[in-house]
Amino acid sequence: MPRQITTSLKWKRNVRRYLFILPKLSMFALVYVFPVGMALFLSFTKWNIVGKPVFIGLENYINMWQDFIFLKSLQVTLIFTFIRVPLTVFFSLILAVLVNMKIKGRSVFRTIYFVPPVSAVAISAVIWKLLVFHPQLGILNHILEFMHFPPQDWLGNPNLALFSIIIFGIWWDVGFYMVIFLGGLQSIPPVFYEAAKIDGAGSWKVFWKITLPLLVPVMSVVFIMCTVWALQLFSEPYLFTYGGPFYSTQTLVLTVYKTCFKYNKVGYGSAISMFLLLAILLFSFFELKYFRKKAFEY
Amino acid sequence: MIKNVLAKVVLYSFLVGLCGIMIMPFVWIVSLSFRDTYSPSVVFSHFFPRNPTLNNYIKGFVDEKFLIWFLNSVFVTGVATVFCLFFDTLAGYAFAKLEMPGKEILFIFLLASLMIPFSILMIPLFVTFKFLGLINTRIAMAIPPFAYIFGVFLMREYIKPIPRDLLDSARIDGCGDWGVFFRIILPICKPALATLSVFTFILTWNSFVWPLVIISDVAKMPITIGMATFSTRLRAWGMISTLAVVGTLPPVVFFLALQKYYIKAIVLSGMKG
Repeated sequence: MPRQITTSLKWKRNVRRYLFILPKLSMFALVYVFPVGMALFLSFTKWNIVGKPVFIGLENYINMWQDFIFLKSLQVTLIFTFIRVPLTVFFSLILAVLVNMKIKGRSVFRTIYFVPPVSAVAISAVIWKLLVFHPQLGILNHILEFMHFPPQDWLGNPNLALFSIIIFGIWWDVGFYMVIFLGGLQSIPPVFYEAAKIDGAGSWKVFWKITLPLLVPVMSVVFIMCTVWALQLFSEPYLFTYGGPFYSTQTLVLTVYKTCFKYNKVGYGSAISMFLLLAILLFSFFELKYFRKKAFEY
Repeated sequence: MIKNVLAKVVLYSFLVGLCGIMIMPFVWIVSLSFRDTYSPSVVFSHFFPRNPTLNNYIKGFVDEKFLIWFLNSVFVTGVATVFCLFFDTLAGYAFAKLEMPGKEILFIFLLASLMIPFSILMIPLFVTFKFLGLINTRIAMAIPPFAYIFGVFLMREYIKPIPRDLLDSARIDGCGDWGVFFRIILPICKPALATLSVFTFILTWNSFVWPLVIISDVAKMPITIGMATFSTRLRAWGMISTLAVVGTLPPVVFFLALQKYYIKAIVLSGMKG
């Protein structure tokens, strides 16, 4: 290849090459870079879309903490996250281990368990609202009646609604994370298991001392993905209960949505969404740190 | 020996039972879509409808907006998938094989976008699109998917291992950067393209939040939003089921056809994450 490419030729080549990524880059700037900047800017203003935004400094951030709805949605989001994430990770891990055992039809199981995540949350949620949670039609109440228990109002009872959404979420998610765990399990070199067998280790011990430690990197990915998704939950509460009853299922993003599109308080909504961004970054950072440490220990 | 057999039976029944739970809602909704009216006690008492009817489908597509919603979804998903297939591969090729100043840092910057939650983009994007006059347009729904970086990441990982010699020999034969792309890279990338197309298709078809924010005109809604709107219709259980079937079938079919690729994509994102 000719070594003496003149500077201007090199420059032209670089420009030509950047053209390869220009379309993607410009979309990226439009959809990610510019909006984050705008969100930050808007969070310091008061604006209802009509007219000009009014700069009010940190007022939004201060008012948040006296807003009952914000605080309630923060509570709902945190409860939801702290319950759903461990449960989802636990079940998907167990499922991956079970499916990974030497049984026939493993790929069939894997495919079938993966069908819920392939469907739209929006559509599955409506299906569940109709078939599972519906007070008269739903299967849960049919089962309860069969066992002579009183039927429940799964989505209308403030104490039950969040729990119902969590159950739905686990049903929806488990297949997805199971596949990720399966990938992790299958990438463990059999050498480790053979060595353990030679040493006479029982399967429980094998699991604790070999499988789990080797799964730590995959587990950190699953944990973080699950946490980030849970903190941002929107579709399920919107479709099942629209935040009700009595805000018992109103997550932070639902609050942001309502603040902006129902009450037209765009500045305040932006401030809440920036707070959420901070929360997500903090959770991810600490989880990453925790798993780094665990990986180091092993 | 017996304990082993018993364990296997228990394991199998559990897994098969779980299959049922996973699929039951979808399967049952198919049955419901062929029924006209029913009372609560009858929903689960039998699977095969006593008097199967196409009424729900006919009413839905002709009287209601099912067909329009379906076509909207097809349009948005098609446009997004084609855009991403082409431009992600282009960018992935550039990042994998072309020397460019600053491309490493740029790539890390792009990857950081995967961490950005959509909730923070929701408002500014709405404001921006309003300013651009793109509210309530079909193309507006396809634009955020244009920016997905996962595809670039996927293609880059796939193109990286292509041996340098192959590309160099093409250059010696007179191909420029574009020639190498179209004649060598693209044909080799077919599996990755399959993966990316499934991934983008499913992600875009199922997307809910962005269309919800940007579309309020009933005629422009994709099927997910149409479902949300229609589901509040009282006692229209048959038609709701029909819409659910229509909305779930494309991604599931696409997935089943190309599941090998889709699952690979998921696993890859988990391992590299």
